[in-house]
Order: sequence, then structure tokens, then C-alpha cells
Amino acid sequence: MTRVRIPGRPVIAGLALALALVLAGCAAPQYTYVADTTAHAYFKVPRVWTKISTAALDKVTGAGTPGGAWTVGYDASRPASPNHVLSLVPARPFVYAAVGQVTRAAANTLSYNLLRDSFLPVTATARQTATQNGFPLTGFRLLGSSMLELAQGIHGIRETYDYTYKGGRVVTFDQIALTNADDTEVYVLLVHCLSACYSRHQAQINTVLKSFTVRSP
Amino acid sequence: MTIAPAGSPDGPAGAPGGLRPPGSRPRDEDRRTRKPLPLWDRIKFLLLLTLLWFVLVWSSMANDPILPFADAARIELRSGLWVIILAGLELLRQAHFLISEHWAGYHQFWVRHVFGGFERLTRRRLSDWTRFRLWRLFTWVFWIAVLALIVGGITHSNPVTALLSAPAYIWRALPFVLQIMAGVFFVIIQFGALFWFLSRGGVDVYFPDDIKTRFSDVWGQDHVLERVKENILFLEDPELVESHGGYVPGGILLWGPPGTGKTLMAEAAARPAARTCSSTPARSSTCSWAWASSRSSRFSASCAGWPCATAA
Repeated sequence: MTRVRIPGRPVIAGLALALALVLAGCAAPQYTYVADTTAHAYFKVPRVWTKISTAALDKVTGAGTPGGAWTVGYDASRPASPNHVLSLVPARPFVYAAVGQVTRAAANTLSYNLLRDSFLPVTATARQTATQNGFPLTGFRLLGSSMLELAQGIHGIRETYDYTYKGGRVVTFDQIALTNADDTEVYVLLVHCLSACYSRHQAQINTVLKSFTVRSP
Repeated sequence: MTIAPAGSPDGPAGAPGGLRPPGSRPRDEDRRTRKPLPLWDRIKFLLLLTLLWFVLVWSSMANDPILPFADAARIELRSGLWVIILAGLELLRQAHFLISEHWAGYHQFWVRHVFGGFERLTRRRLSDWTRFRLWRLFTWVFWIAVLALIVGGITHSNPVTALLSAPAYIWRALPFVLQIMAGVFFVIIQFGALFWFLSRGGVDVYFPDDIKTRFSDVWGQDHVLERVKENILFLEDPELVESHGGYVPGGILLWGPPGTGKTLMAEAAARPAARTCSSTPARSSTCSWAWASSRSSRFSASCAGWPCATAA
């Protein structure tokens, strides 16, 4: 009778391990990993948040077209809407990310204050100018401000502030704006929602903002 | 004393009485079940696919510095689903082989009715050369498709696009590859070559099924062949021969110009032993029983349980 070699324990253990890995992997990843591979900018958002396309965002913000800027949004609201980026007040966190190139001439004038004002007016001068030009949001309140020095000469700011929309609804904005060592690229990541929503989702928002990583190309 | 059946000692299993030479195994074509696969053949494609999947995971992690292994693995279980499917098919194939090795009826069904039918059909319609060329074409297409999927997976692009841009990737990677090759040639190869030269005269192990040569394959030199066969019979039970006052030769020297069949004869002599053999270059062999020699000695084999079955 022919003797058949039965696979030994290591093989069975290996197969069991592979099966366990496959089963464990059946669970979907917790986060969606977002990347602009050209500009080497990365961040993550909870998997259940909905992606807002660049085209829809650009339509609302009017950004993105000059210099081929990369923009993307993620909305935790249901239904998701690109209007949550600015005009509508989101009851759940909304993430807006943009990467754009800065011209050599503009790079010479790029400062931390310009980074602070990259999305909404934050510095006193910018707010004053904005008010004179009919900026609709009022009740600015700075909640936190810090400067960031990262690897490879990447540097910038993190600003957390409130603005009051019409109707008295207070919205909290948490914003990171970075630039590379030679100030030729600007990377912005902003999360905002109603003040109460911000307090409720602060841990989640922190995770998103802390994951923001930029590598110098 | 066990005596080989009439006729050639390595004659077909269908020889008188259906007997086989003592200690020999059934011929592959006479098996009712599938020949058991070595462990390596069972797992090699599974290992390859596992490795490939890990390469895809590594590629995802390399493209995104914030992506941890666990999530990269989960993502690749979805985007690299084709690897999992191929692994599943391979697992199924191995299960099929395992059943075929144990269950003759199952094996015969596949051999005769499924693949046998296909074999007969293609033999009727196509010449052997055409079949060979078609199989070779299929193999090439299969591996090119696998390569396209791998490159597409790594570059996160369409497999066809990835395949077309593969030459550009290779060209870009060439300086790095050349640096590595220079390192290999100047550092590793010289040590490898040194050890190879020092270790010449090593022993290769031949399993009984590795030797396919039979006495029926040796044509000409009939008188030499008869002497070799005779000596093999003596070696069946040398103690018995000697207890009856006989003399068992310590070896045979096959001597002659190249191309006269010395090696073939020694291989055929090793075959009926049907035991694990070790082969050494004849120059370094200490084999005592059969020895074939020419200016270019090539093969000598000693078989476990036998003094030696040798050719050079």
C-alpha cells in the first residue's frame, strides 16, 4: 500500500494562521486613508464619512482651479453635501483639505499669518479687512493656537477658533496650515462643525488632524 | 533467496505473475492513485501567493506613511482579491490532489474521463508539436497576466497600463539594480565561487523514482549488460551466495571511450535497486561495486543497502 505523507503540524498551523488572517481581515478598515501622492500629503478620516468630490467642492469654494490645486472633502453628515464646507452649518464634522502651489514671488511673502488666514480671516488685520468687505461671519473667538515644526523642514500653524453664523449658531473651526521648507507648497486641513458637535467629536477630530502628514517630495 | 522474475529485472509490472523486482515500487503508470506530492510541491504556489500578497501590503504601506499594517492588510484583502481567489483555487487544487492520492476511483475518474477525454481530443485534432506550442503560449500568457496584475497592484494602476509602462519602471530601476548586481558580483559571488570550488565532490541524493533508465534502454554491449545483470543478482543476498561458497565481486569497472553507454548502464544498474542512491563525481567516489570510467567521468551512484551501483 502506498504511504501518503500527510501535511505536518507546521503546514496545518500555517494554513490556520492564514485562515485566521483572512477572517480577521474581513473586517473593513476603521479609516479611509486619503492621499495626494503628487504632493505627498496624507490624512485619515473615519471610514463612514462620505467623500465629496473635488469638482463639487471647487464649485462651492471656487478654489482648486488656479495652479491645479488638489482639494478633497469628507462629510460625516447624512446626507453629505459639498455646501457644508462653508455656506451651510454642518451638524457633524466636515473635513476640507487643499494642497496648492505658491509662486516664487508669493513664496517670498508667505508668513505664519498668511497661513493662519488661508481659509477664514483669523488675524486681527485680516478680520478687519474682511469685515470692511462685508464678511458675513461674526463673533470670532480664538480657542487655541500653536506653531508646528515637522520633519524635512515642513512648518506651519494649528488654529482653533469659533465664528458665529447668522441665526447665532456658533461653529468651531480647527485648522492646520503647513508649508514646505522653501515655502513653495501650502497644505491645509480644516475640520469644522457646530460648537456642540465639536465638543462631542473632539477625539475623532483630533485623530483626523493629528494624522495629517506631509512629506517633502 | 528472492529472485527477480524471468526476463529483465526491471521489466514491466505486467511481467509473469505480475511480480516486480524485489524492493522496487510500482511503476508510475501502474498506480491506481495519484503519486504523492512532496511537501514543497504542495505549498510552493500558496507560499508564492502569500508572498505576493505581502508585497502588495508593503506597497500600500510604502505609498502611504500613515497606513498601519492591519489596515493595509484589510485594504489589500479587498483590492488584492485576485490573489486571495488564486490562493483559494490553488487550495482547491491541492485538496483535489490529496483526494486523488487516497481514493483510486476518484483519481481514475479524473484521469480517464475528464483529462483523458481532453487528452484524446487534443491528440486527435492537434499534432504533438502544436500541443506543445499551445501549452507554451498559454504558460507565457498566464505569467504575463500575473506580472501585469502584480505591477498594477504595486503601482495602483490598470494592469494593462502597468504592463505597458513596465519597461519604463525597469529602466528607472536599472541603476539601482546594477548597483545591487555589482555588490553581488564583487562581494558575494567570489565567496560563493570559492566555496563551490572547495566543495566539489559533494554528494547528490537520488530517490528511486528519479532514475528512469532501465536495462531495456541500453542497446548494444549485450555481453557487458549480461555481466552487470548477473552481478546484480549476486548482490540480492550476498551473504547467501558467500555461505554457499560463492564470491560476490566488490565492484565493476566499466571502461571505454566516451559514448559507449557506460553511464546509461550504471544508471540502469541503479534502477532495480529501487533504493535511495547518492551520486558523487566519479573522481571522488569511494564506491566499490560498479564503476564506469572514461576520460570524462560523470556519474557514480551508491545505493543504500547495496554496496554500490555506479557509473562514471
